[in-house]
Amino acid sequence: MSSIEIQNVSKYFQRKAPGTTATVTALEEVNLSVGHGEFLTLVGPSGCGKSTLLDILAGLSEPDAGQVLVDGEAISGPGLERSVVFQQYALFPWKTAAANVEVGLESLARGRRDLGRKQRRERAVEYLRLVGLEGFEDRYPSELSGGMRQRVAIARALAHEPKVLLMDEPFAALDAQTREQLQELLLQIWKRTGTTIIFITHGIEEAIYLGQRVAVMSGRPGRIQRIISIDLEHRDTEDDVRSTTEFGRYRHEIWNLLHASADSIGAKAGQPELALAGAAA
Amino acid sequence: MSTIHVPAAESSKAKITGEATQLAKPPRNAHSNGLRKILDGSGAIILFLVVWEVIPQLVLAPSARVFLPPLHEVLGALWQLVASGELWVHAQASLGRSIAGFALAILTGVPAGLVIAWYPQVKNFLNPLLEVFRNTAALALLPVFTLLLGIGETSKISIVVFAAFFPVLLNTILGAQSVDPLLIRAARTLGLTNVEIFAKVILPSALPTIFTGIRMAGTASVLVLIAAEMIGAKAGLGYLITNSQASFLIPQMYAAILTVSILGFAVNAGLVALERRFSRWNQQ
Repeated sequence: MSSIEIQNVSKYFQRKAPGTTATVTALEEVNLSVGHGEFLTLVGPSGCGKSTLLDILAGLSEPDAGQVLVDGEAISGPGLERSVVFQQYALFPWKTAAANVEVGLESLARGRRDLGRKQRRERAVEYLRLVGLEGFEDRYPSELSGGMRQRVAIARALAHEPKVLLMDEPFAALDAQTREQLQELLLQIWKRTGTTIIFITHGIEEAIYLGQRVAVMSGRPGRIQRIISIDLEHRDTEDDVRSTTEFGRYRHEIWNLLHASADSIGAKAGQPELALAGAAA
Repeated sequence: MSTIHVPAAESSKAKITGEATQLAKPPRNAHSNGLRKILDGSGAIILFLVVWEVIPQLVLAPSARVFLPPLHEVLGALWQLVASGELWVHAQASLGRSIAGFALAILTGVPAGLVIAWYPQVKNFLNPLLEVFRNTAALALLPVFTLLLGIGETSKISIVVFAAFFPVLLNTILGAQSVDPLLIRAARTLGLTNVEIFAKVILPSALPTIFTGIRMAGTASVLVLIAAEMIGAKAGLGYLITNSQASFLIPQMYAAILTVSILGFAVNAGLVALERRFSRWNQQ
């Protein structure tokens, strides 16, 4: 459990075309603070720089301006206190499910005596059970379905007990039913572990369903457009919270925000097709 | 549980006939299946051996038969070589050289390939030269090795190293470069250091490609060594072949050739088995 401060973060890319080099602003002056144990979702159109922001939070790339503080300390590079779940699972195909979960534990065990081989295995089994994969410890990723692979990836991200869990469209590649199961599972895990979660998605409903707050991003340059607190009072009692009127209201509000920003991109650039192509690249 | 309600005599009778039919059928099937499997797998080889045995005896004139003796004479010569211990001496010499050269090539080729792949500038700089070396037939360099290192063991092991090094090196570079960048990103978020990323991510994901190179190297090292031994050596299977020919011990020459091909086959089969064991996760 930890707090995160994103302060004036900007990121630029050089786009090389024959003869010229253009600077593309991927993120501009992004400010965001996430509280201890909060579940924040970040929604935005594709190409708005949300994955760039997550890379910076993970320490996989550095901002060109601004900084990121975790518990008041500026981050430099990746760290075990911040875990990442990727859209494409990123499991090591030559390792079994349990061995994959143990990777972060092996890093954690460096310089420690209380986390031997046996304890690591026990911890891996425990976290695989947490994500509902008891009995699949010795399967290779190629023997698991997409949903099960993402469960392994979640267990791997959690096993070394990070303070922050960063998730980059983790359920986008899954079918609708599996996605709902995993959303449910993620909420349960969050309630149990109290880990701070930043969850990136392009799905409006997913953002509302999971997040306590939804940060809406606009594209080109990417910045935080608005932050909406989600207050679904029937969340725990209602079976199908997605069909309630309050859920619909949030959905409509965010939809409007995203479309307004998409329109303004088109108007500003004058060449909406080109602008989008650039964003995708 | 239903058998409890069946009268004892009847049930045992049913059991016996059941067993009888079961016993009567499968063995016959298994037998013909086994025979078929052998024929499917090595029918061509058996046919070849039969032709080898028959043609010299029935078709060739006795004068020509001397140069192509039937299989049984060759096997007889092979047995004599085995019994006298001579074959073992030569096989040992050849195996020692090829294993030493092959191992040296792997021990240097794999780390060198990983390093070259890690630094793209180094790779771009070296690549043209590597292509030239790779496409230079190792045997063409045999005189050079002999001039520089003499006709002893050093020059023979060196040429095996040369022949085996490039397949290993180039496949290692290829394998290390085709590592999914996402896995490296994931590894970094899981706290792995650069050295660990090397050992725990890049090496294992490159392993199937590296093994293809090792298999090519294995074949190349046997091939080149035999040729080198034929040109100048005092022991080894290549020497045994040329020496037998020179001494007009023709069946013995064929016996040595047969040993070389069995050796090459065994080396390849062993490496394939090893490859399968190391890339079990990749078999799906």
